[in-house]
Amino acid sequence: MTEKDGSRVVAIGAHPDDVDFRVGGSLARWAAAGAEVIVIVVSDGDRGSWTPVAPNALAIERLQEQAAGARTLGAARVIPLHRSDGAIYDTAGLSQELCLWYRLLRPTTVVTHDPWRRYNLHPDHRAVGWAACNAVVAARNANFHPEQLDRLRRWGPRQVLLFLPLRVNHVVDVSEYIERKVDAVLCHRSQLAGWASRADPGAADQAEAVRGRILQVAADAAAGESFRYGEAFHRLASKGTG
Amino acid sequence: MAELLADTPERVLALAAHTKDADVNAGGLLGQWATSGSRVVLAVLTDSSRGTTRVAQDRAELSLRRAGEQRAAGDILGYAEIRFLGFTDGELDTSERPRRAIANLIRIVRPDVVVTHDPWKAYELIADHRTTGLLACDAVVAARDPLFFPELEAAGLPPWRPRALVFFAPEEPNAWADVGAVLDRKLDAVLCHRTHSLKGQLLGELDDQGVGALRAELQAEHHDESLATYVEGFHVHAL
Repeated sequence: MTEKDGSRVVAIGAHPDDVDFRVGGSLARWAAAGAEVIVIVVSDGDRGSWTPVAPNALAIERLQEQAAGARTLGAARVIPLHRSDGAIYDTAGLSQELCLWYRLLRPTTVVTHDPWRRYNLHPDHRAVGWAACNAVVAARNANFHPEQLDRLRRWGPRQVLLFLPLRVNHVVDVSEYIERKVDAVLCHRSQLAGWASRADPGAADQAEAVRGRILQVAADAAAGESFRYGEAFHRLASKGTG
Repeated sequence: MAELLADTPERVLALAAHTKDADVNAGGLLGQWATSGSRVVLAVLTDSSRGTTRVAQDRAELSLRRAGEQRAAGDILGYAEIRFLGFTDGELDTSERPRRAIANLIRIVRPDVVVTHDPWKAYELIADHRTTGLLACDAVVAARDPLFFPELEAAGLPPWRPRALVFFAPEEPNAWADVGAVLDRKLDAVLCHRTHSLKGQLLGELDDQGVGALRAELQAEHHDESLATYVEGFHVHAL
Protein backbone atom coordinates (compact mmCIF):
# COMPACT_ATOMS: atom_id res chain seq x y z
CA MET A 1 0.00 0.00 0.00
CA THR A 2 0.98 3.59 -0.31
CA GLU A 3 2.24 4.46 3.12
CA LYS A 4 1.86 8.18 2.93
CA ASP A 5 0.02 10.59 5.14
CA GLY A 6 -3.64 10.70 4.39
CA SER A 7 -4.06 7.01 3.79
CA ARG A 8 -6.59 5.42 6.08
CA VAL A 9 -6.90 1.78 7.04
CA VAL A 10 -10.07 0.21 8.40
CA ALA A 11 -9.42 -3.27 9.82
CA ILE A 12 -12.51 -5.32 10.60
CA GLY A 13 -12.42 -8.31 12.92
CA ALA A 14 -15.15 -10.56 14.24
CA HIS A 15 -13.84 -10.55 17.82
CA PRO A 16 -11.56 -8.45 19.97
CA ASP A 17 -8.05 -9.89 19.27
CA ASP A 18 -8.67 -11.21 15.70
CA VAL A 19 -7.15 -8.16 14.06
CA ASP A 20 -4.23 -7.82 16.49
CA PHE A 21 -3.42 -11.51 16.14
CA ARG A 22 -3.63 -11.69 12.35
CA VAL A 23 -2.51 -8.28 11.12
CA GLY A 24 -1.12 -6.43 14.15
CA GLY A 25 2.32 -6.07 12.57
CA SER A 26 0.92 -4.53 9.39
CA LEU A 27 -1.31 -2.14 11.33
CA ALA A 28 1.66 -1.02 13.45
CA ARG A 29 3.76 -0.53 10.33
CA TRP A 30 1.09 1.53 8.56
CA ALA A 31 0.36 3.62 11.66
CA ALA A 32 4.08 4.34 12.07
CA ALA A 33 4.19 5.45 8.43
CA GLY A 34 1.45 8.01 9.08
CA ALA A 35 -1.72 6.18 8.11
CA GLU A 36 -4.81 6.59 10.26
CA VAL A 37 -5.67 3.09 11.47
CA ILE A 38 -9.17 2.30 12.68
CA VAL A 39 -10.25 -1.05 14.10
CA ILE A 40 -13.88 -2.17 13.80
CA VAL A 41 -14.67 -5.07 16.10
CA VAL A 42 -17.99 -6.63 15.22
CA SER A 43 -18.69 -8.68 18.35
CA ASP A 44 -17.81 -8.04 21.96
CA GLY A 45 -16.18 -11.45 22.31
CA ASP A 46 -18.59 -12.27 25.09
CA ARG A 47 -18.40 -16.04 24.54
CA GLY A 48 -14.62 -16.21 24.27
CA SER A 49 -13.91 -18.27 27.35
CA TRP A 50 -13.66 -21.99 28.10
CA THR A 51 -15.11 -21.55 31.56
CA PRO A 52 -18.58 -20.20 32.36
CA VAL A 53 -18.45 -16.44 32.86
CA ALA A 54 -20.86 -13.56 33.06
CA PRO A 55 -21.07 -12.49 29.38
CA ASN A 56 -21.33 -8.78 30.17
CA ALA A 57 -18.26 -8.85 32.37
CA LEU A 58 -16.26 -10.69 29.72
CA ALA A 59 -17.46 -8.31 26.99
CA ILE A 60 -16.32 -5.29 28.97
CA GLU A 61 -12.97 -6.89 29.74
CA ARG A 62 -12.35 -7.87 26.14
CA LEU A 63 -13.27 -4.48 24.69
CA GLN A 64 -10.83 -2.93 27.16
CA GLU A 65 -8.20 -5.40 25.99
CA GLN A 66 -8.93 -4.47 22.38
CA ALA A 67 -8.58 -0.78 23.21
CA ALA A 68 -5.19 -1.48 24.81
CA GLY A 69 -4.08 -3.65 21.87
CA ALA A 70 -5.08 -0.99 19.36
CA ARG A 71 -3.26 1.72 21.35
CA THR A 72 -0.13 -0.43 21.34
CA LEU A 73 -0.31 -0.71 17.54
CA GLY A 74 -0.85 3.03 17.12
CA ALA A 75 -4.44 2.76 15.96
CA ALA A 76 -6.49 5.92 16.28
CA ARG A 77 -9.85 4.39 17.17
CA VAL A 78 -11.70 1.20 17.99
CA ILE A 79 -15.32 1.05 16.87
CA PRO A 80 -17.31 -1.79 18.47
CA LEU A 81 -20.46 -2.89 16.66
CA HIS A 82 -21.62 -4.87 19.71
CA ARG A 83 -22.88 -7.98 17.95
CA SER A 84 -23.00 -11.03 20.16
CA ASP A 85 -20.05 -13.43 19.90
CA GLY A 86 -20.97 -16.59 18.01
CA ALA A 87 -24.11 -14.97 16.64
CA ILE A 88 -22.77 -12.76 13.87
CA TYR A 89 -24.74 -13.36 10.70
CA ASP A 90 -24.03 -12.11 7.20
CA THR A 91 -27.21 -10.07 7.04
CA ALA A 92 -28.17 -7.10 4.90
CA GLY A 93 -28.18 -5.12 8.15
CA LEU A 94 -24.52 -5.80 8.96
CA SER A 95 -23.41 -5.02 5.43
CA GLN A 96 -25.49 -1.82 5.47
CA GLU A 97 -23.86 -0.78 8.75
CA LEU A 98 -20.35 -1.43 7.40
CA CYS A 99 -21.26 0.43 4.20
CA LEU A 100 -22.17 3.43 6.36
CA TRP A 101 -18.82 3.20 8.18
CA TYR A 102 -16.91 3.06 4.88
CA ARG A 103 -18.74 6.15 3.66
CA LEU A 104 -18.10 7.93 6.95
CA LEU A 105 -14.45 6.91 7.43
CA ARG A 106 -13.45 6.78 3.74
CA PRO A 107 -10.70 4.13 4.10
CA THR A 108 -8.16 3.70 1.32
CA THR A 109 -7.58 0.14 2.56
CA VAL A 110 -10.06 -2.29 4.09
CA VAL A 111 -8.63 -5.30 5.95
CA THR A 112 -10.78 -8.25 6.99
CA HIS A 113 -11.25 -12.04 7.22
CA ASP A 114 -11.07 -13.97 3.91
CA PRO A 115 -14.56 -15.50 3.53
CA TRP A 116 -13.38 -17.69 0.65
CA ARG A 117 -10.97 -19.58 2.87
CA ARG A 118 -12.05 -23.23 3.00
CA TYR A 119 -12.71 -25.19 6.16
CA ASN A 120 -12.96 -21.94 8.07
CA LEU A 121 -15.00 -23.36 10.91
CA HIS A 122 -15.86 -20.25 12.88
CA PRO A 123 -19.10 -18.84 11.47
CA ASP A 124 -18.34 -15.34 12.77
CA HIS A 125 -15.15 -15.17 10.69
CA ARG A 126 -17.00 -16.13 7.51
CA ALA A 127 -19.94 -13.83 8.24
CA VAL A 128 -17.74 -10.80 8.86
CA GLY A 129 -15.70 -11.51 5.72
CA TRP A 130 -18.81 -11.71 3.54
CA ALA A 131 -20.48 -8.66 5.06
CA ALA A 132 -17.30 -6.57 4.81
CA CYS A 133 -16.80 -7.53 1.14
CA ASN A 134 -20.46 -6.98 0.27
CA ALA A 135 -20.26 -3.58 1.93
CA VAL A 136 -17.34 -2.63 -0.34
CA VAL A 137 -19.51 -3.33 -3.39
CA ALA A 138 -22.37 -1.33 -1.86
CA ALA A 139 -20.40 1.65 -0.56
CA ARG A 140 -18.90 2.53 -3.95
CA ASN A 141 -22.25 2.49 -5.73
CA ALA A 142 -24.69 5.34 -5.12
CA ASN A 143 -27.63 3.06 -5.86
CA PHE A 144 -27.02 1.11 -2.65
CA HIS A 145 -28.41 2.61 0.56
CA PRO A 146 -29.05 6.02 -1.03
CA GLU A 147 -30.60 7.17 2.27
CA GLN A 148 -27.02 7.34 3.59
CA LEU A 149 -26.04 9.81 0.89
CA ASP A 150 -27.87 12.91 2.10
CA ARG A 151 -24.72 14.06 3.84
CA LEU A 152 -22.17 11.45 2.78
CA ARG A 153 -20.67 10.45 -0.54
CA ARG A 154 -20.21 7.02 -2.02
CA TRP A 155 -16.77 5.63 -1.34
CA GLY A 156 -14.60 2.84 -2.73
CA PRO A 157 -11.32 1.80 -1.08
CA ARG A 158 -8.31 1.30 -3.32
CA GLN A 159 -7.71 -2.18 -2.01
CA VAL A 160 -9.15 -4.90 0.17
CA LEU A 161 -6.66 -7.06 2.07
CA LEU A 162 -7.99 -10.41 3.27
CA PHE A 163 -6.17 -12.16 6.09
CA LEU A 164 -5.84 -15.93 6.62
CA PRO A 165 -6.39 -16.11 2.87
CA LEU A 166 -7.34 -19.01 0.62
CA ARG A 167 -4.55 -17.85 -1.72
CA VAL A 168 -1.69 -15.57 -0.68
CA ASN A 169 -0.70 -12.91 -3.22
CA HIS A 170 0.68 -10.21 -0.93
CA VAL A 171 3.01 -10.36 2.08
CA VAL A 172 3.69 -7.32 4.26
CA ASP A 173 7.14 -7.03 5.84
CA VAL A 174 6.51 -6.67 9.58
CA SER A 175 10.06 -7.49 10.75
CA GLU A 176 10.45 -4.16 12.53
CA TYR A 177 7.04 -4.35 14.16
CA ILE A 178 6.86 -7.96 15.30
CA GLU A 179 7.56 -7.18 18.97
CA ARG A 180 4.94 -4.43 18.87
CA LYS A 181 2.51 -7.01 17.56
CA VAL A 182 3.45 -9.40 20.37
CA ASP A 183 2.84 -6.63 22.91
CA ALA A 184 -0.57 -5.90 21.37
CA VAL A 185 -1.58 -9.55 21.38
CA LEU A 186 -0.49 -9.90 25.00
CA CYS A 187 -2.94 -7.13 25.91
CA HIS A 188 -5.65 -9.76 25.44
CA ARG A 189 -5.02 -11.24 28.87
CA SER A 190 -8.32 -13.10 29.04
CA GLN A 191 -7.25 -15.19 26.04
CA LEU A 192 -3.68 -15.84 27.08
CA ALA A 193 -4.10 -19.18 28.85
CA GLY A 194 -6.03 -20.70 25.95
CA TRP A 195 -3.52 -19.57 23.35
CA ALA A 196 -0.56 -20.68 25.42
CA SER A 197 -1.98 -24.16 25.96
CA ARG A 198 -2.42 -24.59 22.21
CA ALA A 199 1.00 -23.11 21.35
CA ASP A 200 2.93 -25.09 23.95
CA PRO A 201 0.95 -27.26 26.38
CA GLY A 202 2.55 -27.10 29.80
CA ALA A 203 4.58 -23.98 29.08
CA ALA A 204 5.88 -22.34 32.25
CA ASP A 205 5.74 -18.87 30.72
CA GLN A 206 2.44 -18.34 28.91
CA ALA A 207 3.46 -15.02 27.36
CA GLU A 208 6.67 -16.51 25.99
CA ALA A 209 4.75 -19.45 24.51
CA VAL A 210 2.39 -17.07 22.68
CA ARG A 211 5.31 -14.92 21.53
CA GLY A 212 7.05 -18.00 20.12
CA ARG A 213 3.92 -18.96 18.21
CA ILE A 214 3.51 -15.46 16.74
CA LEU A 215 7.16 -15.36 15.63
CA GLN A 216 6.85 -18.80 14.03
CA VAL A 217 3.71 -17.86 12.07
CA ALA A 218 5.33 -14.60 10.92
CA ALA A 219 8.53 -16.40 9.89
CA ASP A 220 6.50 -18.95 7.90
CA ALA A 221 4.63 -16.13 6.15
CA ALA A 222 7.98 -14.58 5.16
CA ALA A 223 9.35 -17.83 3.69
CA GLY A 224 10.81 -17.04 0.28
CA GLU A 225 10.70 -13.30 0.92
CA SER A 226 13.69 -11.03 1.48
CA PHE A 227 12.64 -10.23 5.05
CA ARG A 228 12.35 -12.17 8.29
CA TYR A 229 8.78 -11.71 9.48
CA GLY A 230 5.67 -11.19 7.41
CA GLU A 231 1.88 -11.19 7.41
CA ALA A 232 0.11 -12.85 4.48
CA PHE A 233 -2.88 -11.50 2.58
CA HIS A 234 -4.94 -11.88 -0.53
CA ARG A 235 -5.06 -8.43 -2.05
CA LEU A 236 -8.04 -7.35 -4.13
CA ALA A 237 -7.54 -4.13 -6.02
CA SER A 238 -10.87 -2.37 -5.86
CA LYS A 239 -12.60 0.12 -8.06
CA GLY A 240 -12.07 3.63 -6.72
CA THR A 241 -14.76 6.22 -6.30
CA GLY A 242 -13.87 7.97 -9.53
CA MET B 1 -16.58 -33.51 -20.12
CA ALA B 2 -15.46 -31.63 -23.20
CA GLU B 3 -17.65 -33.95 -25.33
CA LEU B 4 -20.67 -32.57 -23.57
CA LEU B 5 -19.84 -29.08 -24.77
CA ALA B 6 -19.25 -30.35 -28.33
CA ASP B 7 -22.67 -32.08 -28.45
CA THR B 8 -25.73 -30.01 -29.21
CA PRO B 9 -28.26 -30.29 -26.37
CA GLU B 10 -31.90 -30.03 -27.29
CA ARG B 11 -32.73 -27.44 -24.63
CA VAL B 12 -30.49 -25.13 -22.59
CA LEU B 13 -31.32 -22.87 -19.64
CA ALA B 14 -28.83 -20.12 -18.82
CA LEU B 15 -29.20 -18.44 -15.41
CA ALA B 16 -27.46 -15.09 -14.97
CA ALA B 17 -27.53 -12.56 -12.15
CA HIS B 18 -27.66 -9.50 -14.41
CA THR B 19 -28.00 -8.62 -18.06
CA LYS B 20 -24.64 -9.01 -19.86
CA ASP B 21 -23.33 -11.73 -17.49
CA ALA B 22 -24.30 -14.74 -19.64
CA ASP B 23 -23.18 -13.09 -22.90
CA VAL B 24 -19.77 -12.05 -21.57
CA ASN B 25 -19.00 -15.35 -19.88
CA ALA B 26 -20.76 -17.93 -22.05
CA GLY B 27 -22.07 -16.08 -25.12
CA GLY B 28 -19.87 -18.16 -27.42
CA LEU B 29 -21.10 -21.51 -26.13
CA LEU B 30 -24.74 -20.39 -25.99
CA GLY B 31 -24.52 -18.82 -29.47
CA GLN B 32 -22.84 -21.93 -30.87
CA TRP B 33 -25.53 -24.17 -29.42
CA ALA B 34 -28.34 -21.91 -30.65
CA THR B 35 -26.80 -21.88 -34.13
CA SER B 36 -26.60 -25.69 -34.08
CA GLY B 37 -30.27 -26.01 -33.20
CA SER B 38 -30.52 -25.89 -29.40
CA ARG B 39 -33.41 -24.01 -27.86
CA VAL B 40 -31.55 -21.57 -25.56
CA VAL B 41 -33.56 -19.84 -22.83
CA LEU B 42 -31.88 -17.14 -20.75
CA ALA B 43 -33.23 -16.13 -17.35
CA VAL B 44 -31.87 -12.92 -15.79
CA LEU B 45 -32.52 -13.15 -12.07
CA THR B 46 -32.26 -9.52 -10.98
CA ASP B 47 -33.63 -6.31 -12.44
CA SER B 48 -30.02 -5.13 -13.09
CA SER B 49 -30.94 -1.75 -11.68
CA ARG B 50 -27.86 -1.00 -9.58
CA GLY B 51 -24.64 -1.94 -11.33
CA THR B 52 -23.56 1.42 -12.68
CA THR B 53 -20.97 4.01 -11.88
CA ARG B 54 -23.54 6.72 -12.56
CA VAL B 55 -25.01 8.57 -9.61
CA ALA B 56 -28.72 9.28 -9.20
CA GLN B 57 -29.65 7.02 -12.06
CA ASP B 58 -33.35 6.32 -12.42
CA ARG B 59 -33.27 2.65 -11.50
CA ALA B 60 -36.53 1.68 -13.19
CA GLU B 61 -35.40 3.32 -16.42
CA LEU B 62 -31.98 1.68 -16.20
CA SER B 63 -33.61 -1.70 -15.69
CA LEU B 64 -35.82 -1.25 -18.77
CA ARG B 65 -32.93 -0.08 -20.94
CA ARG B 66 -30.89 -3.09 -19.87
CA ALA B 67 -33.71 -5.48 -20.71
CA GLY B 68 -33.71 -3.96 -24.21
CA GLU B 69 -29.94 -4.35 -24.48
CA GLN B 70 -30.23 -7.99 -23.39
CA ARG B 71 -32.92 -8.66 -26.01
CA ALA B 72 -30.73 -7.16 -28.74
CA ALA B 73 -27.78 -9.29 -27.61
CA GLY B 74 -29.99 -12.38 -27.42
CA ASP B 75 -31.21 -11.79 -30.99
CA ILE B 76 -27.61 -11.75 -32.21
CA LEU B 77 -26.77 -14.99 -30.41
CA GLY B 78 -30.05 -16.72 -31.28
CA TYR B 79 -31.59 -17.12 -27.83
CA ALA B 80 -35.14 -18.46 -28.21
CA GLU B 81 -36.49 -16.71 -25.13
CA ILE B 82 -35.35 -14.35 -22.38
CA ARG B 83 -37.08 -14.17 -19.02
CA PHE B 84 -36.53 -11.38 -16.53
CA LEU B 85 -37.27 -12.64 -13.01
CA GLY B 86 -37.07 -9.17 -11.49
CA PHE B 87 -35.40 -9.78 -8.13
CA THR B 88 -33.80 -6.59 -6.78
CA ASP B 89 -30.24 -6.08 -8.00
CA GLY B 90 -27.74 -6.39 -5.15
CA GLU B 91 -30.21 -8.09 -2.81
CA LEU B 92 -30.46 -11.62 -4.18
CA ASP B 93 -30.48 -14.29 -1.47
CA THR B 94 -30.71 -18.07 -1.30
CA SER B 95 -34.19 -18.08 0.22
CA GLU B 96 -37.18 -20.18 -0.77
CA ARG B 97 -38.82 -17.64 -3.09
CA PRO B 98 -36.04 -17.37 -5.71
CA ARG B 99 -35.30 -21.09 -5.36
CA ARG B 100 -38.93 -21.92 -6.16
CA ALA B 101 -38.97 -19.48 -9.08
CA ILE B 102 -35.94 -21.17 -10.65
CA ALA B 103 -37.12 -24.72 -9.92
CA ASN B 104 -40.39 -23.73 -11.58
CA LEU B 105 -38.49 -22.46 -14.61
CA ILE B 106 -36.40 -25.65 -14.85
CA ARG B 107 -39.59 -27.73 -14.86
CA ILE B 108 -41.13 -25.48 -17.56
CA VAL B 109 -38.08 -25.31 -19.84
CA ARG B 110 -36.94 -28.93 -19.17
CA PRO B 111 -33.33 -28.13 -20.09
CA ASP B 112 -30.72 -30.81 -20.80
CA VAL B 113 -28.07 -28.39 -19.54
CA VAL B 114 -28.17 -25.53 -17.03
CA VAL B 115 -25.47 -22.87 -17.53
CA THR B 116 -24.67 -20.43 -14.70
CA HIS B 117 -22.14 -18.61 -12.48
CA ASP B 118 -19.65 -20.72 -10.46
CA PRO B 119 -20.58 -20.00 -6.82
CA TRP B 120 -17.25 -21.42 -5.67
CA LYS B 121 -15.19 -18.94 -7.67
CA ALA B 122 -12.72 -17.45 -5.21
CA TYR B 123 -12.55 -13.69 -4.83
CA GLU B 124 -15.74 -13.09 -6.84
CA LEU B 125 -16.73 -9.89 -5.10
CA ILE B 126 -20.26 -9.48 -6.49
CA ALA B 127 -22.62 -11.29 -4.13
CA ASP B 128 -25.38 -11.68 -6.75
CA HIS B 129 -23.01 -13.77 -8.89
CA ARG B 130 -22.20 -16.16 -6.05
CA THR B 131 -25.85 -16.31 -5.02
CA THR B 132 -27.11 -17.05 -8.54
CA GLY B 133 -24.74 -20.02 -8.77
CA LEU B 134 -25.91 -21.37 -5.41
CA LEU B 135 -29.57 -20.84 -6.34
CA ALA B 136 -29.04 -22.76 -9.58
CA CYS B 137 -27.62 -25.71 -7.63
CA ASP B 138 -30.40 -25.57 -5.04
CA ALA B 139 -33.08 -25.30 -7.72
CA VAL B 140 -31.71 -28.20 -9.77
CA VAL B 141 -32.17 -30.40 -6.70
CA ALA B 142 -35.66 -29.05 -6.05
CA ALA B 143 -36.65 -29.45 -9.71
CA ARG B 144 -35.59 -33.10 -9.96
CA ASP B 145 -36.97 -34.39 -6.62
CA PRO B 146 -40.75 -34.89 -6.52
CA LEU B 147 -41.18 -34.03 -2.85
CA PHE B 148 -39.69 -30.56 -3.29
CA PHE B 149 -42.34 -27.95 -4.08
CA PRO B 150 -45.11 -30.54 -4.66
CA GLU B 151 -47.42 -27.71 -5.65
CA LEU B 152 -45.45 -27.44 -8.91
CA GLU B 153 -46.35 -31.00 -9.86
CA ALA B 154 -49.93 -30.39 -8.83
CA ALA B 155 -49.88 -27.47 -11.27
CA GLY B 156 -48.82 -29.77 -14.09
CA LEU B 157 -45.03 -29.44 -13.83
CA PRO B 158 -43.54 -32.87 -13.08
CA PRO B 159 -39.96 -33.21 -11.82
CA TRP B 160 -37.18 -32.67 -14.34
CA ARG B 161 -33.50 -33.60 -14.09
CA PRO B 162 -30.99 -31.79 -16.35
CA ARG B 163 -27.99 -33.85 -17.49
CA ALA B 164 -25.39 -31.33 -16.45
CA LEU B 165 -24.60 -28.05 -14.77
CA VAL B 166 -22.11 -25.93 -16.68
CA PHE B 167 -20.45 -23.20 -14.62
CA PHE B 168 -19.00 -20.23 -16.48
CA ALA B 169 -16.02 -18.12 -15.33
CA PRO B 170 -15.10 -21.14 -13.19
CA GLU B 171 -12.74 -21.55 -10.29
CA GLU B 172 -11.39 -24.76 -11.85
CA PRO B 173 -12.10 -25.14 -15.59
CA ASN B 174 -12.40 -28.73 -16.77
CA ALA B 175 -13.75 -28.17 -20.29
CA TRP B 176 -13.21 -25.72 -23.11
CA ALA B 177 -15.75 -24.83 -25.77
CA ASP B 178 -14.49 -23.96 -29.26
CA VAL B 179 -16.23 -20.65 -29.99
CA GLY B 180 -14.14 -19.63 -33.02
CA ALA B 181 -17.11 -19.74 -35.38
CA VAL B 182 -19.25 -17.40 -33.24
CA LEU B 183 -16.69 -15.13 -31.60
CA ASP B 184 -17.50 -12.10 -33.76
CA ARG B 185 -21.18 -12.45 -32.95
CA LYS B 186 -20.39 -12.88 -29.25
CA LEU B 187 -18.46 -9.61 -29.26
CA ASP B 188 -21.29 -7.90 -31.16
CA ALA B 189 -23.67 -9.15 -28.45
CA VAL B 190 -21.42 -7.97 -25.62
CA LEU B 191 -21.25 -4.50 -27.18
CA CYS B 192 -25.08 -4.27 -27.12
CA HIS B 193 -24.85 -3.73 -23.35
CA ARG B 194 -24.24 -0.01 -23.69
CA THR B 195 -25.16 0.93 -20.10
CA HIS B 196 -22.67 -1.60 -18.70
CA SER B 197 -18.94 -1.17 -18.23
CA LEU B 198 -16.29 -3.62 -19.34
CA LYS B 199 -12.66 -3.23 -18.31
CA GLY B 200 -13.52 0.06 -16.67
CA GLN B 201 -15.09 1.59 -19.79
CA LEU B 202 -18.77 2.36 -20.27
CA LEU B 203 -19.59 0.50 -23.49
CA GLY B 204 -22.05 3.15 -24.74
CA GLU B 205 -19.34 5.82 -24.61
CA LEU B 206 -16.72 4.01 -26.67
CA ASP B 207 -15.84 5.59 -30.03
CA ASP B 208 -14.93 3.46 -33.07
CA GLN B 209 -11.31 3.31 -32.02
CA GLY B 210 -12.25 2.26 -28.48
CA VAL B 211 -14.56 -0.45 -29.81
CA GLY B 212 -11.78 -1.75 -32.05
CA ALA B 213 -9.29 -1.85 -29.18
CA LEU B 214 -11.75 -3.62 -26.88
CA ARG B 215 -12.63 -6.21 -29.55
CA ALA B 216 -8.95 -6.91 -30.12
CA GLU B 217 -8.34 -7.29 -26.40
CA LEU B 218 -11.29 -9.66 -25.95
CA GLN B 219 -10.26 -11.69 -29.02
CA ALA B 220 -6.78 -12.11 -27.59
CA GLU B 221 -8.21 -13.22 -24.23
CA HIS B 222 -10.29 -15.91 -25.95
CA HIS B 223 -7.41 -17.26 -28.01
CA ASP B 224 -5.93 -20.59 -26.99
CA GLU B 225 -2.59 -21.30 -28.64
CA SER B 226 -2.47 -25.03 -27.99
CA LEU B 227 -5.94 -25.53 -29.49
CA ALA B 228 -5.31 -22.88 -32.19
CA THR B 229 -8.79 -21.46 -31.82
CA TYR B 230 -10.93 -19.22 -29.62
CA VAL B 231 -12.34 -20.79 -26.47
CA GLU B 232 -14.48 -20.26 -23.39
CA GLY B 233 -13.60 -22.23 -20.25
CA PHE B 234 -16.20 -23.98 -18.10
CA HIS B 235 -16.56 -26.34 -15.19
CA VAL B 236 -18.91 -29.10 -16.31
CA HIS B 237 -20.66 -31.02 -13.55
CA ALA B 238 -22.59 -34.06 -14.75
CA LEU B 239 -25.76 -34.73 -12.75
